[in-house]
This record gives sequence, C-alpha cells and structure tokens, in this order.
Amino acid sequence: MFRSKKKKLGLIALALFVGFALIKTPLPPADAADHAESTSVAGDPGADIADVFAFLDPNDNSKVVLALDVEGFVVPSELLNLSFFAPDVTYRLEIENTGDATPDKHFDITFSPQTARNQPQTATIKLPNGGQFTAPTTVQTLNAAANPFVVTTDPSSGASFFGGLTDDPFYFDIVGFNRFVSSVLAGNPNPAALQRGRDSFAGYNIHMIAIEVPASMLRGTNGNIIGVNGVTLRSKQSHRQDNGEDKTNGKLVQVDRMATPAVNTALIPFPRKNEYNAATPIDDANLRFAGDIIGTLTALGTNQTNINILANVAVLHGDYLRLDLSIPNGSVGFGERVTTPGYTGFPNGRRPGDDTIDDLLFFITNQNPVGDNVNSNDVPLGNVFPFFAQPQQPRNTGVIDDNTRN
Amino acid sequence: MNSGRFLIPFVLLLLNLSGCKVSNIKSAPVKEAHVTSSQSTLSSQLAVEKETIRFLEDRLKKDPEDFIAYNKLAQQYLQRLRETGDLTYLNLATKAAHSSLSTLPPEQNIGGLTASAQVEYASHDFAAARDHALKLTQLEPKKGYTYQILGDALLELGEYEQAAAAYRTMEDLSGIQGLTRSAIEQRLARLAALHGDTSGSRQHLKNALTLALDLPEPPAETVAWCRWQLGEAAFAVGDYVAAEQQYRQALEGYPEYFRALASLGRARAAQGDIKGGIEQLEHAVRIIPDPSFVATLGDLYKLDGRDKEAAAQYELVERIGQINELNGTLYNRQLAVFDADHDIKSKRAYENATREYAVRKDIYGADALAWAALKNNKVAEAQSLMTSALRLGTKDARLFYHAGMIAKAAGDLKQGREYLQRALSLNPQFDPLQAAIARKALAE
Repeated sequence: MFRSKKKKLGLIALALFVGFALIKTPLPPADAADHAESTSVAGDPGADIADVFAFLDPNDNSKVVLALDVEGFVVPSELLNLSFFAPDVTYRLEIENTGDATPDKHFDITFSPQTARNQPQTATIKLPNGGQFTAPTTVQTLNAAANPFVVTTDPSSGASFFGGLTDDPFYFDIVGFNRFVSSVLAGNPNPAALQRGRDSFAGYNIHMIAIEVPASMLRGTNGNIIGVNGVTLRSKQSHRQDNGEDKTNGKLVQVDRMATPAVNTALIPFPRKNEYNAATPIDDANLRFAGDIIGTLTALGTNQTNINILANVAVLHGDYLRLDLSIPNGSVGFGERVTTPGYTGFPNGRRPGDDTIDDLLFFITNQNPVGDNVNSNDVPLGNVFPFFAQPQQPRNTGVIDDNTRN
Repeated sequence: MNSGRFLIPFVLLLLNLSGCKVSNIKSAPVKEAHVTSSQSTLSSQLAVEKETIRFLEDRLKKDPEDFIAYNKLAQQYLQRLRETGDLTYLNLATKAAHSSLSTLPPEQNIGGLTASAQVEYASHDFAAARDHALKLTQLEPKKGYTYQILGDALLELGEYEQAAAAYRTMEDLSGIQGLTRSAIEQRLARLAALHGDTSGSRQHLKNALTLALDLPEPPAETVAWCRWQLGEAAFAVGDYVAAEQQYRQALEGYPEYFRALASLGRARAAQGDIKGGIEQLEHAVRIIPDPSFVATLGDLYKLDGRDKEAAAQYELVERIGQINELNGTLYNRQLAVFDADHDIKSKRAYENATREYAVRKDIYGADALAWAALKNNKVAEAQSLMTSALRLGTKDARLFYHAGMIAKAAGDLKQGREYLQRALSLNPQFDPLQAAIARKALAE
C-alpha cells in the first residue's frame, strides 16, 4: 500500500509541475459591463468541481463518506443569487470497484430550483441499486451563527445526505506554490517562495454535497479497493420555454471531472485542459494524455524509472481517488502529515483535513520536507457527518478577517 | 449608449478649477422615498455588496498578494460603477485587475485576465478587451462567460457578425441559470434592435426581465436595467406612455437609477411636459452629470425659455469636452454629437468622431462621424458614412434624421424627405430640439 501511495504522489507532483495550480476565481453573476451595456455573467454556476473526498467515517468504519464541492471562494456575506446548487446540473459520484478504469456504479444528485433564499432546495439522490430518496439542503443565513447542518438519512438504504454551504476545507498558499513551481521550471528552485504561509482559501465558503453510505454498497470484485470520481453533467440541450418553464433534453454531457487533488486543474497543460475535463478515466487508461505527461516530465529532468512509475499509476488505471476500505480510519486528518504514524489519509482516499499540497510537495522535492507553510484548515472540522466545518459567517464591522495566516 | 458615469470626477475637477457655478450640480437633498419592499430588497443588496467589498479589502490589507481577493474585488467595483456611475470605481477596478495580474500571470490567473478584459471594456479600450477576451476563450473554450466578454467587445467595435457568433456560442455553452439566460436575452435584444427588429428586441427584453424577476432574490440593478431598456425600446418607436411606465417602474425598485431618471425626463418632454422633464433631468444630473444628460437639460431649458440656464448647461458640456481632451476618450462620441447637434465647434466634433471611428467602426460611430462631417460641409464623406451607419437596417429615428439631412444637403431632396418622414413617423419627438429641426426641414 505504501508503495502505491508513493507512486500516486509522484504522479501528482508531476501534475503540479506541469500545470501550476490554476485556481479560477468564481465571479458574481451580475458584474459590470459599462456605459449602459447589458448586465454580465461570469463563471459557470455550479458545475466546476473544486475537490472530491472519500474516506471511512471515523466514528463508524462500516460507512464511507463521499463528497464533492463546487463553486468556492464564496465571501460569507455573498449569498443572494450566487449561492445555490444548479438545478440543471447532475452531480455524479462514480465508483470503480473492479480494478480497471471503467466506472461500475454511480450516485446521481440533482436539485430543485431555488425558490427563495430562506427555503431549502430539494435534492434527489439516486442510488446505484436504483433506489432514490429526497432531502432538503441546508439553508444559509447572514446571521452571526450559521444554521445547523441538515442531514437526511434514508431508512431503507442507510444512506445519508448533506448539501449546503460549508467552510472551504482546502488549504494552501496558491501564490507561494505557483511561484515555487515557476522557480523550479526556470531551473532555480526557490523554496523561499513558500514562506508566505498564506491560506488562499481561508475565510471563504464552498458548496458541499456529501453522502454517507454503507461500505457494502460500494464493494465490487476488486475487494476492498474502490475508486471515486466526481463528475458534473448537463443536458446537451436546455432552454426556457415560452411558458417560462425550463426544459432540458438530450443526453447528459460531462462538464467537469475531478478525483485526485490538483490533477484536474494542474496535471494537464492548458491546451488540453478542457479536453481532459470532458474525458473519462478510460481515456486516461488509453494513454490519451500520456504524451503530455511524459513530455513534461522529461523536460523537467525526471528519469525514465520515475516516468514509468508515474505513468503506470495515474495513466494506466485512470484518474480515480482510490480508497482501501480495509484500512481503519479514526480521524478526519486535521493537522496530520503523510509521515504521521498511523496516517491513513490521502492518497488513500482523501479526508477533509488531509494536507494534500504538503504531501505532494514532499515528493516533488524528492522526499524533502518542503511544505507551503499552511498546515491545516483555518477552522476546525466537524466530528460527525458531514465532517466539514460550518460556513463562515459575516463578521461585525471592524473585525478584520485574518484567517489567511494560520 | 454612453459613458456619463465616468464623468463625475472630471466634472468635480472642472468645478474646482473654474469656480463655475452650476446650481443643479450641487448636491441636493435626496427626497425621502416611500419605502417599498423592492426598495428594502435594494438596500439589503447594497448592504451585502458593501460588506463583501469590506471583507475583500480587509484581506488585501493583510496580504497585498491575495490575487483572488483582487479578482473578486474588481468585479465588485465594476458592479458599483454600474450602479453609481462613479468613475472612482473604475479606477479601483483597474488597479485591482493590475495588482492581480502582477501577482500571478494570466496563464495561472484566469480571474485576473477576466477582470482585466472587463476593466478594458469599461474603459472603452475595446480592442484590448477583445484581445484579452480572445485569450480567455482559448483558455476556457467551454465556458459561456468568456464568449460574452468577447461578444460585447466585438459589438462595440462594430464586428456584428463575429459578436453574434460569440453570443451564439455563449448560449450554446450556458445552462439555464436565470441570470445567465437574462444576460443572453439582453444581448439578443441588442442584436435584434441593431438589425431593425424592434418587436423582437422588446420580446427579448421582456424575457430578460422575467428571468431576473423569477430569481429567488431579483437583483435590483439588473431588474432596473431591464425595465429601463424596455422603456428605451418603447421610446424608440414613439410609445412615450409605455416608456414612461417602464422608467417609473425601474425607479420604484431603484429610486436613484440615473439612467431611468434621465430617460423619464426625456419621455415627459416628449409628451409636452417640459417642466416635468426638467425636474427629472435635474435629478439625474445631480447624481451623474453625464454630458448627454446635461445637454438634454440645456435643450429643455431652452424650450422653456430659460436661455441663460441653457447656455450654462451647454457651457458645462463644453468644459467637459475640454477636460476630455486632457483625460482620454471615454465620452468622445457624446461630445461630438452634442457639438454637431448644436453647431458648436464643428471642427472639433469632426476630429473627435474621426479619432474614435479609426478604432471603433460600429454603426453609431459611423453615424456620429457622418453627422459631424455634414456640419463641416463634407457631404460626400457624410453620405458614405451614413450608408455604413444604416447597413444593419437599424430603425432609429436619429439615424434616419441624420440620413435625411445629409441626403438633403447632397441635393437628393426626395430621399431626404423620405428619411425625415421615417424619422418623424417612427419617433416624432426623438429629440427635444432636433425633432423640430427635422420637421422644419421636411416642410421646406
């Protein structure tokens, strides 16, 4: 297991070198045009996946938590029309459990349109066995205290659902990291670039979708190893009818996918990034992107042995977040390192608290303990499902947010 | 179709420098408005904007390299610019976009590139906006918003077919989100109007408004914008009652919406209520002394027999023009048309219009230059430019009026009469002073 972890990390390290951490800033829907021009939209609300999580419930290892989040960098006051789950997007969690690159089952989550800011949306969760249940999202508020998380459990399947705004659990210094990568690419590695120690994600919220299901629902012929891939899809055709109702038809088209952190945005060079987003783990396994990866690796001076190892791991079996259901897990990973004794997190699945970037940098720098000096989330994580922290709420006037520095 | 919002700082500067006393520029007490539910929506939305800006500015105090905060802040400032017309916000947005891109380059910072293109667009640097938008579409070819920015820049540059293609791509790539669809409908409305499909344009605007109103929390500025546009569409076909109704509805949700105030003033005047028109225009000019507002106010004073006050307004537009020469080209076109309309410094009008048309060949640029050319007795050039201005089949009384006057000057009296007839039957009161001139020319 450790060996496979290493390989995975090496691959991700490569990914980071190739593409930098490209983090898009989502934009408010009605931004400025000028001189009496039309209102604008920027961004693709609801369909860009930021992160995917898969881990054993630390309180009950017979259950697995699967989560994906979309549309981050939400300012605590910035709710209004920004903050909802897109009703025309299908949020899918694919499960691979036979050891190849082909997804074997999936969970589909869709949402009713938001009718009012103080009313929940209704999520419909379709289970792999054909069953389904509905559940309300957690309503947001501008009050000083966040609304309690609403968790709905389906008695017949034992599956639980949460959908709503949470604190963004991801943490790292994008600026420092990108500068470090630039310095490496320029041939003068400069670890000092990592001294800023600013958490670019601190203080912001994100839209989280989480389900918890019995592990037995996920197991397949590959024993305890499952792969998890997050996907968003839209109908090929969607339009508004004359009667004002939205109509979507045509087959679902993939908008984005995400599994291993940073691969989706960073592994693939710009010219092929969108192609990658629309592709599948099967395409990965068919070496569709191998040339890009190997070419860049070679340019970076990675030797053939390592290129082979890396290509073997990420390319040949597709990009999935792999979780071993037999490794006991007792925490959400807050404050842990990959070198922490008893560490059970990323790249074994991914827990909300895992320091994925430091784990990657560890291997990028040939197992030197280089990190980005942002070592945990800015606020503590939850200790029950969904295990994420409550959303950050607007602060009183004069209270400066300085959570960016841990 | 203009940029008055950029004007406040210049005008304030002007007043300071010249000691010029223009009573209606001074701030006036804002009338206590009856607070409706839509107004409380507005105030809560403005409070959220304010809080969001504070949050982001605070982050930057602590970390001046927080490029995400810069990117988000640029968007917030641009929205404030839209709402207030205060050019200070354009400067702030520009600085934010620059700071973002100096922290991380565009390839690692799509939000910074987006902000940059939008700031350039707002600053009327349409060519730079187009170039950056093109780069955005290369980086994000599957995202509708990149084509929106591209299409908007192309439209201002007069590249109508390319703009329409960009909007089509935007439509194909976007989902059914209300605000996105509303933004698309607004653009389809503009394309339809440019191509002379006035009823199609109104339908698109109605759709845009419905989509905005259907949102759980309709954004006040977007709603006001759509209503104001519907008013403009009604005014353009001479339906002043319907226009006034739309403007008043816009103002109900957004009482200081300066665009609707100015247009309401024009609609009152078009219905013969000159004093009512003056009242609304004075209000609009207090909020933002857009040169076109100031010029219209001058025209209404003139119609009201207040020649001295009219002259003061014209002088103010003049002064703005002088500052404009020092401060860039944000409102060149308005000033060129003003000069040409009022037969003031025709040579300067021609020069301004020429300079702009060199980099921005949209139909209204051709029209402004044609009109200025006529006032400089360059009739042949005016004719050729007018052909270009009418190339899309736009049904705009002002275009027809200019075309008529140019044809007449060229000796084609029959065509001149036809165009003037069209102008006046489409929108009999298209302009407080020019409509009367058109009528007189037709009677000659």
